[in-house]
Amino acid sequence: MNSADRDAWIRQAQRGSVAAFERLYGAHVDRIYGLCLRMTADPATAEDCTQNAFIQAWRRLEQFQGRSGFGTWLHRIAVNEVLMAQRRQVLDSSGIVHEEAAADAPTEVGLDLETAIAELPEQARHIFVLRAVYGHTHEEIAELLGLVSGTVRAHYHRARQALKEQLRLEDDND
Amino acid sequence: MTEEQSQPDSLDRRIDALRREITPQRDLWPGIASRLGRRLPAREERSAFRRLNEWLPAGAALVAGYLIASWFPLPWAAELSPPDIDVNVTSPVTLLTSVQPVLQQLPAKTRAVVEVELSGLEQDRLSIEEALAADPNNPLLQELRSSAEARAVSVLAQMNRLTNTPASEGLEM
Repeated sequence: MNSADRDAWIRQAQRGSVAAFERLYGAHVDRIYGLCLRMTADPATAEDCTQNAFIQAWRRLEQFQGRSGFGTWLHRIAVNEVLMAQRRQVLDSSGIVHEEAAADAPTEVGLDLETAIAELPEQARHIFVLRAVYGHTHEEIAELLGLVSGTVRAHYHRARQALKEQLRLEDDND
Repeated sequence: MTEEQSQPDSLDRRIDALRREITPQRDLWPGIASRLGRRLPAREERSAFRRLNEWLPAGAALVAGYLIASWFPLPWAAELSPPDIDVNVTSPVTLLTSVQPVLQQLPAKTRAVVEVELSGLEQDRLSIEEALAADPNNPLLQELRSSAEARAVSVLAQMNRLTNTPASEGLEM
């Protein structure tokens, strides 16, 4: 997908073309799902969040002005969907713990790291995924998650330390 | 140099090796497509309401707003004052039919845009109510109904805003 194609699809989708929006979906779904899966550590919730993110994007498409990239804009919507989904889970008080997340995590590369990320506390996991995996700045993460950047930095540092410790333990066991 | 860059370690190498893109195990598009609904292009939508603002007499806007409010059982609908114009309102009303007198006052292109929106709202309501009749406790259907109600409220808010616009600011009385 080149940038001219993408821009044309966005314009067509803004005029109401579902077909153009489907092309945008095809171009972005894997990255959005990857983000949602790593943030939620649960495939089913990640699927829901991905679907909701694209539905929200469709509804808000008229607000997309092109000041940031479409992928970045979509990313922010997806993060918001993940946060809302997890708030709903808290409200439901279901107490669901996603024990199976690790088993369903990507298996080809870095399984140990994927497992360790999935086992981080929720907020630390969000911050680590957004910072280390998807390259957001501390300030961007603070804005996305409604935190101050110092808190983000502290969580990120602790998450890195926790992952290092866990991975070293596993290395020793190997 | 940042803290992370100054400490190249196996963690960073492992992070670099992670795939940023992961394909879902099932096709998510059908579920998305079924919930997209119609969305008016922003320019046309804004244009339609701007033309409403230019053309719709305030009294007629009040009628339309009242009819939309009566279409859904909104908790505050009863607080709305009935329109000055004598209109037979039965509840529930068929939205598109009820606002026809108002729509007829609009320019053809604007009327077409508004009719599409109202028709969609009505179809959505009918299909949701049908589904809820068979499965009244389904949380997804209840959420869809709430969403449809919110859309109707949005239309109502637009109309009420028109009615609140003084004649000196563009409404032709």
